[in-house]
Amino acid sequence: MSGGLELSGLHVGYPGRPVLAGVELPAWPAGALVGLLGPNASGKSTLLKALAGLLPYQGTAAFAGDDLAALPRHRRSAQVGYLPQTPPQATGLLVYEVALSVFRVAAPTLPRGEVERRIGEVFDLLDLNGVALSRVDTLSGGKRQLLGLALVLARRTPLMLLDEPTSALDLRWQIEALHAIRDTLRGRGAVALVAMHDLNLALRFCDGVAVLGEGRVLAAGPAATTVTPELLRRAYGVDARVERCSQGHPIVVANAAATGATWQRADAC
Amino acid sequence: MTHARGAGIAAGTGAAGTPARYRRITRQRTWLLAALAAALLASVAADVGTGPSGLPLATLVQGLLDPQALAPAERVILWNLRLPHALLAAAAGASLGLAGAETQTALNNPLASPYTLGISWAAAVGAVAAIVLGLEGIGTALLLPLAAFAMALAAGLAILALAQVFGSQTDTVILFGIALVFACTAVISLLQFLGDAETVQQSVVWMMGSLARASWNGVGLIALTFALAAPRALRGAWAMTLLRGGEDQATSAGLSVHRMRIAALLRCSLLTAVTVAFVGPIGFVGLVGPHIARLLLGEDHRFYLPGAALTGALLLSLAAIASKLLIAGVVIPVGIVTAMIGVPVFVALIVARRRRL
Repeated sequence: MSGGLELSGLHVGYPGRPVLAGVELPAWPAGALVGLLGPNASGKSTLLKALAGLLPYQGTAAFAGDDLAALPRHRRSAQVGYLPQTPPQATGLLVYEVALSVFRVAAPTLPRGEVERRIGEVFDLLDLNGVALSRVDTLSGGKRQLLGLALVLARRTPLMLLDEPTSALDLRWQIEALHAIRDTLRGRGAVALVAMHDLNLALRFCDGVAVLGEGRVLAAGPAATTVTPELLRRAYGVDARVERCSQGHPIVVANAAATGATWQRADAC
Repeated sequence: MTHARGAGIAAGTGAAGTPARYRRITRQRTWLLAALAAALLASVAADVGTGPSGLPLATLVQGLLDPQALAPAERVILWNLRLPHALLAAAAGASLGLAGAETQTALNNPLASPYTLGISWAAAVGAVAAIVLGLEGIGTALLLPLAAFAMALAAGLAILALAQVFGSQTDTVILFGIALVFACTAVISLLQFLGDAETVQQSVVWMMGSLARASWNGVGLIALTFALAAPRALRGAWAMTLLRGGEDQATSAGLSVHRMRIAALLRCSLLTAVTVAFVGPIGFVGLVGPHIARLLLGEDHRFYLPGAALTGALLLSLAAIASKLLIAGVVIPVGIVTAMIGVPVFVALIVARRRRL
């Protein structure tokens, strides 16, 4: 589908350790926020790194009709923004300086006024203006994660690959961050592939999900209909229910590890 | 953006003030760079004015403007000893400071320096071999620096080759460097064990790092190498700044981190090889010059890189003056003095910084 992301027969791994073998992902339309789900070590980060150009892969990853692997580096960086799992390094750089450096390298021809406007807009959105001239090594882990997210959102790339963008955030900023991501996509017809562990956040914010397990995509489709008790048992090894909250959103309630798991049965709710 | 939940918007704080306030910070840094440059000029002038022969300031100024106005002995002292000595200190310090700054960022390691990578030690192998094996006596005065340069360059190229083959991950390169340090130390020990007492003493003095062999050739070559390397380093200042933010982020923004590391290591190898060939291994400047620059100017590499070069130059220039003043009538090898001056300055800066945070 034009404007979308489509993966076909993707093999990714590390020397002597294949992680993903034959990942297939149907095309997602422009504006889609796609949750990349799966248990620990299922290959979520590996897949995002490969698509971001940090790991070699075999197979086809196409975006907006372009084969990502065939794009020259500068065109690829104009198309793809990537938020690593680790936040920006704690250095003596100022927060604003880090954002400027991203633009000076990724979009050197963008006029200074436009760069300042974009940074200011995203910093406002993610509450970073108060610390814009602080050293990065004085920020909390959560603020550094928001800075990393701001760097990607400000670049406004058509494809955003976000590796656990809310893992260090409190409840309020998990929601703020996901709203910011969704609004950025919808306003510009971009696509985001977001690795997440919080299934309820994924069900609430994502248009679609892809669940990784056993080295491939176990299921992919609309969030509300794809996440089922059977899939959760298979992917995560848990007995869980998918219910509706009072506002009608689907929510996952995990009861216990499926047979063979080591943790204790939780109270049913 | 349509989303309006951000606290910044809710609280009515805008982004409008940040660029203006940041520009003020960059202006302050520019002034600080200018102050460092002025301090360096003053230090070089003081270095030229310092020496056992006690030439009056007026004579020195007159000799600089019109060399023929000086008596032959004074002319030799000013033009063949003091000026090359002072300029060599500045040029060597600037080269080591820049090499250290680039290496620390490229390898993401605050302990990285031409010393850590073993390049200075490889130069020492070349120089000690030339002294102990008596090669210096059969060649010109340039044979010893040539041997040191050749070995330092070979070490730099070996590290580059290994980084190309095994990847330029920072740990790998640092480990190669440490292995090289041990290998070079062993070879130096063997050469000294085989040498006689006189050559061993000469080699030990060379390894202390000294400006005593200052010559216009040395000044010219070091300045030329610096003039070639510095603009290239500065051209990549934004990329270096981005790399400080994190390697994955830098790569996804379109930066070839591997290629950048290779280029930085190549510049470091050349700067160090040429410098060490003429002044011997002076370790402290390449390590601490960048740290002082970082404390003074932050880590925006547009300021940090020239700052590290200026700090390195200033540090070595001050050390050169002190080396003539600490013991009357004796010029102490400058490598000893850099640590004696640099350590207290460095510790004071760190303490001041901690108090401010």
